Amino acid sequence: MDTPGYHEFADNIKTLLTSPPPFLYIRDSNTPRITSYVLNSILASGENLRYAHVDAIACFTPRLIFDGVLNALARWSPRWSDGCANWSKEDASDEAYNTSLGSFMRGLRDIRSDATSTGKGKAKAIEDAQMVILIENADRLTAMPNLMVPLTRLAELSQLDTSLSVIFLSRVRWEDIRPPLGASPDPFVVDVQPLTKDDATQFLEANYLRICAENPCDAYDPSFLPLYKQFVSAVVSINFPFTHDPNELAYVIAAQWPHFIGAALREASDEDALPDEPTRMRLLRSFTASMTTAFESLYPRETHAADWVEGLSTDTNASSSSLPRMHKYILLASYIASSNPPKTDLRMFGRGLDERGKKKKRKGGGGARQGAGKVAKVPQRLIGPSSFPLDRLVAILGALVEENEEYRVEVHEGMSIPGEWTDMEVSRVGVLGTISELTRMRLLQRTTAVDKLDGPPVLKCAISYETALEYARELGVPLVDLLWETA
Amino acid sequence: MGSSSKSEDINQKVVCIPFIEPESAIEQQVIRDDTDLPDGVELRLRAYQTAWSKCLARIQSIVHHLKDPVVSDVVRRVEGAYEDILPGLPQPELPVICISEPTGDSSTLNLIVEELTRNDRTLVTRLYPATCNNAMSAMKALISGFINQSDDEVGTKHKASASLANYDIQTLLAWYDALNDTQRLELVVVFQGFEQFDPLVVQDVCYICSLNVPRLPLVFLLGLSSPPSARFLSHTYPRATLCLLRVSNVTVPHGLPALEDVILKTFFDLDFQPDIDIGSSAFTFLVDYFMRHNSGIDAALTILQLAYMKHFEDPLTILVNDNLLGTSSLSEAMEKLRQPQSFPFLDSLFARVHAQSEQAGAEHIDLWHQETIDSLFRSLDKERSAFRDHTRQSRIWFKILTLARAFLLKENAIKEAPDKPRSSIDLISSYLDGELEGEVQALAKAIKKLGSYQLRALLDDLHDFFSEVPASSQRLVNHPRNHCTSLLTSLPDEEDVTGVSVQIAESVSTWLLQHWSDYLGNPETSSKLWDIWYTASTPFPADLLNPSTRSSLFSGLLQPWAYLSPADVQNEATRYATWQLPDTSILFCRYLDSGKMINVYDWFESFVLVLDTQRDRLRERKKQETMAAANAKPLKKGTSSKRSRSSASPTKKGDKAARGAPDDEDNVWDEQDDENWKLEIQARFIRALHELDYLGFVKHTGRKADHVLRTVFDVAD
Repeated sequence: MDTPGYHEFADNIKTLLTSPPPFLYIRDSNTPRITSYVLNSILASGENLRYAHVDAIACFTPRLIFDGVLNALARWSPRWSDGCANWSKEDASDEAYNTSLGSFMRGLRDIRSDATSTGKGKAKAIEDAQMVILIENADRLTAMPNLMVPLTRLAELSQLDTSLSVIFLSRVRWEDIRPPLGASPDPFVVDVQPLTKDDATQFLEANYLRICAENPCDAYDPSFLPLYKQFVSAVVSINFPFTHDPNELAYVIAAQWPHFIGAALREASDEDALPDEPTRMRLLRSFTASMTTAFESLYPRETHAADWVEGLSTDTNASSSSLPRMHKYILLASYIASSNPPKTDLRMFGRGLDERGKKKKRKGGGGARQGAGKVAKVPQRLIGPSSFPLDRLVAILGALVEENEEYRVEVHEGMSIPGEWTDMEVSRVGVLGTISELTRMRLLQRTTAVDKLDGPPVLKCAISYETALEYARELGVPLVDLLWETA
Repeated sequence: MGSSSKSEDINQKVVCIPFIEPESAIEQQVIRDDTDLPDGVELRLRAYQTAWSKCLARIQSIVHHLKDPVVSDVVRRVEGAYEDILPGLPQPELPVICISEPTGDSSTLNLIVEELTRNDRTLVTRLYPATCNNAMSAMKALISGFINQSDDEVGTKHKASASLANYDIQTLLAWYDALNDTQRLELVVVFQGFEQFDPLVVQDVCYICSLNVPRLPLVFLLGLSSPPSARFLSHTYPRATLCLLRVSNVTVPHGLPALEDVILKTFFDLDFQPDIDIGSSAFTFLVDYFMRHNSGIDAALTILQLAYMKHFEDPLTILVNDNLLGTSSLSEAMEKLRQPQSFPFLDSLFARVHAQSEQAGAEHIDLWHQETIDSLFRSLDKERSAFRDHTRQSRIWFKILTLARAFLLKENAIKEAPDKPRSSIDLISSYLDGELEGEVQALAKAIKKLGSYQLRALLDDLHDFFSEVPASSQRLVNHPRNHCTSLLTSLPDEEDVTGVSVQIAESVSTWLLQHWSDYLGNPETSSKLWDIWYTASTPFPADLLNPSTRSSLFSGLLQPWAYLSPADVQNEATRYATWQLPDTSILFCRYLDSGKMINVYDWFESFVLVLDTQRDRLRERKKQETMAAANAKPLKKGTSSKRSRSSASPTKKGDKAARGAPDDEDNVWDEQDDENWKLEIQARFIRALHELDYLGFVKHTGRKADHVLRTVFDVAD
């Protein structure tokens, strides 16, 4: 096992493990998954060493951590036929090890002593064995403050001293999660350096033979390795500025390689041979554009790699009109309510009685005039949506519906006041139901508690500017004119 | 009593306290039509149930059919979730299938789960937002969902703390390893109403599960109700979580295409004959509501159901399927009609059957005398089959219209606006509104211009259609089919030079035009009793489905008698004086008269004035009543006169019922001292004020303790 780019790190860790510090903190903000893999390999290959690897996200309660650590250190795997029993010393008392921190530490001690009592020859080995606890995503331990401090001084508290070592692996710096009042000792900190471009390339190339072995198929044949190397270096050179994570690059390569090798094989003169150098260069050049587009759509996972291989892309516009019109009006109204300051509503939508009926040319207000020395106001779009009460939403909805909606159902005869029909329409049960339905869909966000009856519910818009523009286009609403701050 | 004991039970989440009307009001509940049979309401309800369940079954089978491909697609995806995985991916991914059901109901998800449960290759567990408040409860629900499905009870042997926690994924691993199956079972986790799950919890669940795939072959099914365009998953969850998943999206057919399918196959299909045909007004409302408020098939179903229910308000609709009138044989039905109670019904039926008789007046009268119930039944049967035949013909020719239209569009013989193509829904809409004339003319004109080959293709299509008409309607198309065949044979095979094809095109055009105008006209002309089977343009009771809360509240407060005793209000269009209204309405009327802020004391004073008037008036009326009763005593007509009066002055009755005032109020009036009266007024005021407050008409200000703010202005009285 040798991971490119991790030689130095691996050497350091190996040296440290010869006489490990009681508390080691490894920070890797770029590729923690790979670091965890490397650490696991080192620990697994360590002689006279027992280790437990737990994930603080998966072990979200102290009990899960205790069980995970003890079972792993004792190399015990719970079986269903035994009722998933945890490891325990044969002559142990009734109390389980996972009930409290004290019993956990007793468990740690028992693991050592148990080995001593069971086998003579083996006992010696385990007696001397180094025990290591590796906790991944250690930043999540902050959710269990009562456990964090004891874990950092576990060696000392469990009286196992030098034979126990705790390693925290995290994306964040120790300073950011350090418990207050100096409760924890300062760890021995190791920072993992980000991978260089060459490391990343080598890492990806090194993967190829493993993939070939695991998936014998047309696209992955050991004989394609030289071409694969060229392809990888092209992909890395294009996409490395955007991500340094080889796993992400591997994802993009996995999506593109089948296409590329397919094209290369078609170009090749001989059936089994690879194309010659000029053809390869030409192919790589023709794939350059698609490498960028693939990255743009695969990195944020807009499309899945398997779908990309099959040439499928998620069609976002296909069913955009699937929302009923009133839903779109409400979402638009929410967008306007969240973007415009409440004081501007009257200027945006207000009309005198005489003006009703004819369209008034509205003018977007533009930014506030800025006096010298005043701090510039941050545009609303950068601040994010502001919240608004339900009444305001319904009022804006009324204004939008009044101006833009054509009614198929004839207006009732009795309604003579302008806007009366709209007033009826926006206060219907259906509209209120729709608002709560949209909240449930999280297209609208409710900021007040659901069970609060006092005062109107306060909402917030949760759709993007682009979505709002699209709905506006479908409904024929001049959205840009209705926003106080134009982009 | 039952309800009160229920409400004390803290485990009871919902308590239903049914409204128990005072006995006197029950008789008004059923507003009977004068021309109805004595048991007409029950019989019509039964007839409605038969008609609606027939229609509902049809629609449900169509919807089921629509969803079938989606269900089988998802099942296929679930089964193949761990096969054919793209090589070279950096880590194993958790397969996730998002099922978007923008209509909001989860029927498709249920169908999928049903299908997967039947399948012996998968185990399914369902998670609900309410049970997944945190990672622990979510994991517990997920794990126990699977483990509890197996009969293996070994897991309970040890005491809980000595074994793995029941929310530990290792438990599931141990359980799964112990399942010594030859084939690997897939574990499907269904998230019902996925949008309502806490994203932080789901992130953790995804992370924990992804650590253990593919050793645990988990598949997540997410039931989404937001539209696919909203891309809920990628907008809500961070990239770190999305990286762990292999997401595929499935959308359930919904919206206009689904509605089109349902309507066409229910009301315009040759294989199915609904008992009631939907008219333009209900259809327009349906489409409008569907497009504007709720594009779910369930909403459409509710609207159709309401239209059916409304339709059966007409006493004659009891005859929708047969003449049995709820009896088991025709002779019994005749006997029933001969009963004196049935005479009004019989009269109205006779009137309808003979309404547009072409006979001259005198003869008509003679006929009336000769008419027996037997002959009435015969003519009813005739009308029924005439209407049914007409609707069948309409369906056939409507189908031919769409067929011809599609053909002409394909051949570019007619064009439609590219930005606004007419859907089948639009065509149906114009057909029901009787506005197909323009469309029909345009088609006929285009057919006239068709060349020989095109004409042959069109006639071939028509001929095929006629031959495929189901046996039940075959007799109706015999003649057109023969005509079609003869036209086809007379069409020259070679390129036409003699102009024969032009003539034939003309005759085809005239032939089609003739039938279209015959059968696609108004169904109301097909039978005298069309309104038994056709809802026509009866206004749809839209306010039942989607009332306007504001206006309902206002009308309730301003015209309370329209709700409290609708029968009285229907008869006389009287306006009640303020003192005749219930307390809350009185207070509300005064509220409307005030300015922006209301001084509560002034409000109270004005309320007192009205109540004083009310007291005086009621006292006066009581006096008159006792005097009248004393005079009428020898005649013993007390009950009937009382009833007529009480319906003329509903206030008294309503007030008593509402406030629980003592029955012998009038006797106490005189002795009641002012103190008590004041107390009563205050209590009534406070109660009314609180009711308005509860309804949201009042806003309290911190600044002036004795003032409240109005929240509603400009109410059209």
